[in-house]
Parts: sequence; C-alpha cells; structure tokens
Amino acid sequence: MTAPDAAGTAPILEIEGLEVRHGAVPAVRGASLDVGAGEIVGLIGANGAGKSTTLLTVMGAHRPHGGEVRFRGEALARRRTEDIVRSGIALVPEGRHIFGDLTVAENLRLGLAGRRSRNGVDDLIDWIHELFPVVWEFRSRHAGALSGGQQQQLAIARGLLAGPDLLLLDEPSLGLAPSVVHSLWGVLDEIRSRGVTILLVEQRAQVTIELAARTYVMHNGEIRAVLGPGDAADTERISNAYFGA
Amino acid sequence: MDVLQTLINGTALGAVYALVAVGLALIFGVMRLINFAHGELITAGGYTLALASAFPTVAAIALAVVVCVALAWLMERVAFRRLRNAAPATTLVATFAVAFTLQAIWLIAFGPQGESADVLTSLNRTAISGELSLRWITIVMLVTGAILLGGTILLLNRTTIGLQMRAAAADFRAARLLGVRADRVISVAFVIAGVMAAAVAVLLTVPRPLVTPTFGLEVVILTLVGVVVGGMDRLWSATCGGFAIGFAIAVLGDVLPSSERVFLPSAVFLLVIVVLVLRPGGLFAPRRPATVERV
Repeated sequence: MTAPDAAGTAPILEIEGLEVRHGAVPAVRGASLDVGAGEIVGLIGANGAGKSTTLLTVMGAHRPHGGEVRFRGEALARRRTEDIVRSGIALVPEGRHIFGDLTVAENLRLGLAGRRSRNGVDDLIDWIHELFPVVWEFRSRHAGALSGGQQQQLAIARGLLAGPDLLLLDEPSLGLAPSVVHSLWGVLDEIRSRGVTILLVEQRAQVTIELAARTYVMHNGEIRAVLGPGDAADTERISNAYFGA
Repeated sequence: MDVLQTLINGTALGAVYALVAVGLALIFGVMRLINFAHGELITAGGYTLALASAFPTVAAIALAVVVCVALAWLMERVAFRRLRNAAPATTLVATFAVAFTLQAIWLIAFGPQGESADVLTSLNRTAISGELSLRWITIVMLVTGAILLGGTILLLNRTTIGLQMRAAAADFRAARLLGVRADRVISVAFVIAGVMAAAVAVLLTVPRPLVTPTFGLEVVILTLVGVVVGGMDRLWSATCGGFAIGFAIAVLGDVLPSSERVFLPSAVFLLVIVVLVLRPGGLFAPRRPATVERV
C-alpha cells in the first residue's frame, strides 16, 4: 500500500517545517503535515515523539523556533492562545485537564469562553446532549467524581462547545478500556460528519490508522511516514515507522 | 459579657484582615504571585482619604476606591504582566521592588510623620453602651466585611468572569486553551484587590487615622502570615487564615495586659509557628501529606 496523498480537500491546517525546542532540546524537528477540511487525520508516535508539543504549538502555547503553522491559509505565529481558540481551533488536551472542583455544567460553560458568537449554541447543546447523554445526566456533579471515560466525554463536549472548525485531540483513548475506545471512535466519526475536522494524536497506532483518512507517524520530533487506512494491517511498516527503525 | 465583647471585636478585625486576604489570594490564584505590593494599595487609599478629608465623606471614599483600583490595575499592567511567565522568585522580587518604590514615593511626597485621615472618625463613637459596649466602627467593619466577602462569593460563583477566574486559579493554561482571556481574568483580579484595599483603608483609618508610609505594609505582612497559615492555594482557606490572624490580634490585644502589649506580635508569630509545625500545609487546607516536601 502506498502512502496516501496529502489532503484531498483544501487544507484547513498546514504545518510546514515546524521546529520547536524545550530549552536546548529539540522536541519537533522540521515536521510538516496537512489536515484537509472535514477529515480525520491521525498523528501517532511513542511517548516523547513530539506530538503534544506540535498540538500545543498550533494552539500558541509554545513558540516555534522555525517553520510555520497556517490555519485557513493564515499564519498563527505570535497569536495568543485565546485568539487561536476564537479563530476556530479547540484542543482537548492530554490528561483531559478537567476542572475537578467545578461541576460538570461549569466545565461545559467554560467551553463557551472560546466562542466567536452565541449563534447556534442551543443547537450545539442539543447535539452534545445526544452525543454524550451521561455528561448531561451528571451535569450537577463535581467533574472530579466522573470516571475516566466520562471525563474524556466531558473534555470533548467542552471542546465542541467552543464551536470549532478544527478539533485537536491529544490521546483521548489514554487510560480507557478498549470497548470505551471503540465507542469513542464512533463519536469522533459522528463529530466529523457534522463538519468538524479532527487531528487525532494517539499512541494506539492500529485503531487510529483505521479511523483516519491519513496518519502521520512521528518519531523523535520528525514525521517518518504517512499511512492510509489500508496500511492498518501492515504491522511491520507501522512498527518500523513508530520506533524509528 | 467580656468574652462576648472580645469575640465581637475579634470578628470585626478578622473581617478586615479577611478582606486583605481576599485581595492577596485572588491574585495568587490567577498569577501564582504573592503580591507584597498589596499593602501599598491600602496605603494609597489611606493617603487619598487624608488628602480628601475636606471633601464630603462619600466623595472621599469614592476617590479612595478609584485611586486603589487604578493603582492596582497599573501595577499589573506595568510591572507584573511582563513577568507572567517568569520564575516565582523573579515575580516575588518584582512585588518587593514595586512595594519599596511606592513606599519611597510616599516618604518623599508625604514625609515620615504621616498624614491624618479623619474622614470617618465619628464612627469611633459608641453605638451600644451598657454591659456590652460597641463602637459604630465595629458594626461597620462587620457589615462591610460581610457585604464584600458575600459579593466576592457571588461574583465567583454566579458570573461568567467568576467561573473563569476559578478555572484560571485551578489550571491557568487549561483555561486559556478553552479561550479564557488571561488578560481580562488577571485585570479583574487586580481590580477586585483594589476595591478590597480601598475598603480596608477606609475601615482601618477610623481607629488609627495616622497614615504613614508603612500603613499598609504592616497589615499585609500580618495577613500574609495568616494566609500562609490558612492555606494559600484556596481562596476560602486563605480568607479564613486572614480572618484568624485579625481575630487573634484583636483577642490577644484584649487579653494581654496593656504593659505586655509590646509582645503582641511575638505572641501572634509564636501561634503561627505552632500551627505550621502541626499543619505544614495550612490550617484549613485539606491534608495532603504527599505535597509536603521534606528537605
């Protein structure tokens, strides 16, 4: 199976030659990737490969030392995180970063902070209600009391309330049972079908490759391979790219 | 009745110190910054009252609020905003620098003798006499404390900006990633701190109208001790700590014979040492032994 071409549709997010350092240590080294509008794109790699740093750089939380990040053709360099959220990108961070002392409803209200306008909020809330009935049911509980899977649902629901065009998900399956991951993947597909583009960062290689239109494999800060859904069974190729062989 | 009298006086002074603690804790919450310069806001309020003592009372108080809020906002905008991502030691030194700069300005402008802010001295009159004797200022301290603390709770729990402040205090980066505007949240925290400082200045100049360059500093150092004893990382525990120190000062002041009053600060700090030995994380903080670093 050959690597699929870059975004078939017009790219909504373009990362070109991205360089990020943590102090003197290079974390991302010349990484380039495209995410087309309406796609689910995967970015996989082992711990420390530079995946989360890439996402946080897109969000303006890290300053790149080189390269460029463009959203809808506009460079994001030097823009503040909160302005990037308002421009239409939401990140569901690794470890969920739920506010455990706040209620589920308060966590959801915080998701509205990143909206450009209140238009369409009611429809969005109805949709989230359908998508994550458990989150809605427990809305008056403290978020810290939810299970890991429920917290992940809350984190995604909160991200969606910002009304993003592009949703960045950082290891949403972390710590979840395989059956929960399976239903989570179904939810991601539904989110995409509503027109929200997804960049999915994961360590679970095979299931990500199956789901995504295209999956970039990152190792040691570099993109080592681009795989399509048909490559999901090619374990040798996946592990070679994943472990940098 | 003596005990009741002491308890009421202690609660009133505790309420004033709790207001100082709220100002400190709100800023610590959103910036992880221990603002030593908070005392200078109180001093600025005191000097404003002194300079405006010829004005109608309401106008003088309003002017003090405006000055304190403006100075708080300016402090953040000029000094602390640039240091938002700096190491805690850097920001701490910066707050010292701001505090000492302002103290030098007070000293040059008003001299070491102090100015008299006798705007509300009529509140020193007795409101209730008999076995229980209360001055008006005691009642005003209790009422003002209750209103401002209640208002802060309502703001934090019932408004969008309050929710964003609570989120920012828990995890600032996660809040920003949701689109919470860092500048706005921090500015609002400083503005509230300014309002609290103005209120404290008004209340404290009634029993001690002489405003000197260290007027606010003394209060803030004692409150900081209370806030640390209470637990800095939560607003309510810091506020309780501030209240406790004010209460302790008033009660010890009542209990100690007047010849022994010079030992009041020593007695307060001894109490603090005992508390910190027994509860290193803070008197009101939840027990979290793992977070206590042993060197």
